[in-house]
Parts: sequence; C-alpha cells; structure tokens
Amino acid sequence: MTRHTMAIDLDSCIGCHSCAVVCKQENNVGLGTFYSKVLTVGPSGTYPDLEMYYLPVACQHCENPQCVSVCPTGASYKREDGIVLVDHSKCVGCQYCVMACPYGVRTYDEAKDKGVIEKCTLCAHLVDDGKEPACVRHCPGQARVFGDADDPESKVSKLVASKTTHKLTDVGNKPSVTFGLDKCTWKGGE
Amino acid sequence: MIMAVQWPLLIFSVLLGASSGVLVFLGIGEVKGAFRKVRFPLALIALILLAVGGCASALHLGHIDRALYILGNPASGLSKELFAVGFTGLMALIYVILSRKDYPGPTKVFGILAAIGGVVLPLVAGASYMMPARPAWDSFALPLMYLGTGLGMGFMLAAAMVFAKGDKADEPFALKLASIGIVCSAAVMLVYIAWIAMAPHPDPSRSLALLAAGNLALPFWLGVVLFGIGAPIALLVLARRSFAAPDDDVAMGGVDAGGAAAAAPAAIAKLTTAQMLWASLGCLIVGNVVLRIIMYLVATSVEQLIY
Ligand code: SF4
Ligand code: SF4
Repeated sequence: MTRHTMAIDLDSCIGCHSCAVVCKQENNVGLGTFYSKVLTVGPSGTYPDLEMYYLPVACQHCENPQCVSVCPTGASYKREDGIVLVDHSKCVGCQYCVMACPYGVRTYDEAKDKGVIEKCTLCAHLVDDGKEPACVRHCPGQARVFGDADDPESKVSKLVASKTTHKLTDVGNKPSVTFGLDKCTWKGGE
Repeated sequence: MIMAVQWPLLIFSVLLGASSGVLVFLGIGEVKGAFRKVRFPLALIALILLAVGGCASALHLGHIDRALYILGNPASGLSKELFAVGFTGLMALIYVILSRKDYPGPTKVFGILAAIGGVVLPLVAGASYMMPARPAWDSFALPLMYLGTGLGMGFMLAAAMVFAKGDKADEPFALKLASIGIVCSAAVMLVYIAWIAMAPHPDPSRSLALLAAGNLALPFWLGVVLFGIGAPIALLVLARRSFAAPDDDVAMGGVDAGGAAAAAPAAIAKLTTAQMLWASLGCLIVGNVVLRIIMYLVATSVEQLIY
C-alpha cells in the first residue's frame, strides 16, 4: 500500500524558511496563517559546546490521525495514500480537530475560506499530478524528501535508513513524518 | 500558545449541567412520588436551559448553516453529544407536556427517561474533550466533573424552587438532595484538579503550581475554591440550620453578630432558607464558570508548534 509522507534531514536544513514561504505561495495561504513553519531549536549546551538545529514543522499526516477521529462531519479525512486532508465543503468549523491535533498545526481560517479549518495538504494537488510538494521541490538544502514510506526504494525510506531518526511526540496518533538528525541531540519528545 | 476560552462551549456546558441536574432531581422525584407542585416549571426550566445552551454552542461553529453535518461521523464525540442533546431534549419536552396534567404512568416513565438523559448527556459532553493531545483533558475525571457539577447546580436550583414554590412536605427531601448534589460537585471538582496535577506529559502550562501560586492562582482560589466549593457548602449548611430552626435568628450557629467582620454573616443569617439556596446556586454558577475557564487555559497540547 502507498503511504505518502515526508522525511526531513535536519542536518541539511539551513533554516532559510524557503519551505514556509513557498508553501504560502503554492497554497495561497492567507496573511497570519501558516501551513508550515521552521522552528529554531536551541542553542543548547554550555559554551563552547553549543548546538542548534532547525525543525521544519507542519501537519505530520499521522497514521492514526486524532483530527480525523474527532471530526464530527467527516470533513477531516485520510486518503488511501495516507495524506490527511480537510474537505472545506463539509467542515462546520467546530475546531475539535484543532484541539485534537497534538502539534498545533491546524488553524481556523478567518481570511481565505472563512469558517473552516486549514492545514498542510502535503500539496495533494501536485502529488496527484505526479509532482512533489512545493516545499520539497524548493528546499535549497535538499533536506526534504517526499515518497512512499512502504516502498524501500523511495527517497523517504532511503533517508530514514541512512540516519538516526526521530518523530514528534506520539500520543497514539503515529506521526508519519520522520526527522533525521545525527549532528545534534534531538530535543523533542518522541 | 494557550488555548482561548471557548465561551459558547463554556456557557453550553454550564447550562447543560444545570439542566441535566434538574432533570435527574425530577426523575428521583418521580420515583419517590415527590415534587408534584414544581415539576412542570422545573422541567420547563431544564428544557429552556438546554435549548439556550444548545443555541450558545452553535455560535462556536464557523458554519451554523451546516450544523446538521455534525451527525456525519457517529463515532466522534461531538456527534454523540448532539445525539445525547437530542434525546434528552426530546424526553424533557415530552415530560414537560405530560407533567402539566396528571398522566401518572407516562409522566413517571418520561421523567425517568429524561433523568437518564440528564446523567448520560454531561458524561458524553465531557467525554468529547478527552483527547490525548491535551493531557489536562484526557481523563474520565473531566466527564465526571461535568456530571457532578451539573448535579450540584441542578439539585440546588431545584431545591430552591421547592422552597420558593413547592410543597412544604417536599422540603426536607429537596434539601437532602441539594446536600448530596453539593457533595458530588465538590468531590468531582477536587478530582478534576487532582487530574490536572497528575496528567501525563507534565508541563508548567498545565500544572498545580500554575493554579496554586501561578498566573491562575486568583481564579483558582477565589473562583473555584471559594465560590465553587467553600461558599456554596457554607450557604447550604446555613440553609439546613435555618430550616431546622426557622424562627431562630441563630442560623449562624453561635456566631455572634457583633463587629464589622460579622456584618456579612449576620446579614446572611437573616436570609430565608430559599434565599440561602439561591445564593448557594449563584456561587456554584460562578465557581463552575471559573473552573471551565481554567479548564481551557490549562489545555495546552503536548507540542505546540505553529499555533
Ligand atoms: S499532525 Fe495533527 S492535523 Fe496532521 S494528521 Fe496529525 S493530528 Fe491531524
Ligand atoms: S472544524 Fe471542520 S474539519 Fe475540524 S473537526 Fe470540525 S468539522 Fe471536522
């Protein structure tokens, strides 16, 4: 089965925020709204042994998405290929999914499509066209890769196999995005 | 980022709690053959509280026009909540109609069905908040808090009505139920606060320290401890004393009404039993609103990344 997801090599991320910017452009994300952001983790340690890394965050397209299970309308749903989406025409804007997501990556849209929920779509419109998500295509550090986690030959599987990997805190939602980090100590929960 | 207080949902939860409590009170009355004189106005109040609460909660939606889509995923907490509101509302409506006249059998049956709704609804409503992403909510202590505080408010409201407009013979039983309600209410409040302290993934944003001595200390001590627990219990104790010794102006039980500090207690001592019960209800409502404000403010998620 196909399991579309992303893996991010944090050792290659230079913290340029290109992914966050190109995401806004590609998805016409309104002012003050973000599908994707780049956080700075650290610096940590004591001088001169300091370390710091960048953590690009967005929806983790969870395998067991809590946003989907709490959604009373079925507007939040998971596709066969693992991408978690919101059908704006069904969303009542109850915001339970916002509460149920452990990472605060969903937001109530006040500008573009008023009264519904928005979040990263993994650029499903591009994926369906045989392309990669915009953030992957435009990452100058080539830190982001997209692919099928169930295919051992995919870029995602290869990156995962080649690095020390981490996930965001899992409270039963099973985040699908993997972070590779060898040069620093991972500071997030697992 | 701290979650904003969801006022429409907060108002809904307080009103549905009070409404459910009243329905349970009346259901017990039906079983015991009590509260005949006040059951119609009380059932009507319960129905109105539920309806107003329901309308308030609808204001939370971004698309009220799509409200019925909420039944789309029956496994979700919110769909279940809507079913529970529908069931309880319908039973309460039928009970209101039947209690106007006397149809002994059916009135009793629907009184009991409405009371079952009154127990189930707060549990279902509270359970819809149980999400692993928000440790301060992810416990059965939360639906229990919704149920217990609802019994506290509802029983107090109903008992006050019995004293104001009901049968004299029903007063001792009403007072007994109000006492049971307030004990339940205080207990579940404490259990919920204990949960906040014990919840997994501890973080300062959802800790006992934040309540006891941090940013939320004032609402916690004043709102929850004083208004939500201490004052309503004290007022109920006074009400019980004044009921036991109605013409005695010593409801304060030996407190000498002298000096400025004693002025307020002395004034309270002059209240009738019904007035004390209303005052206790007022305190409970304040306490419940504040407890729910706190419930939203401590509901930080395990990893707050973008918002
Ligand atoms: S990260 Fe949040 S919004 Fe994305 S699938 Fe998981 S629970 Fe849903
Ligand atoms: S806000 Fe929309 S997508 Fe989110 S739970 Fe409610 S109906 Fe579903």
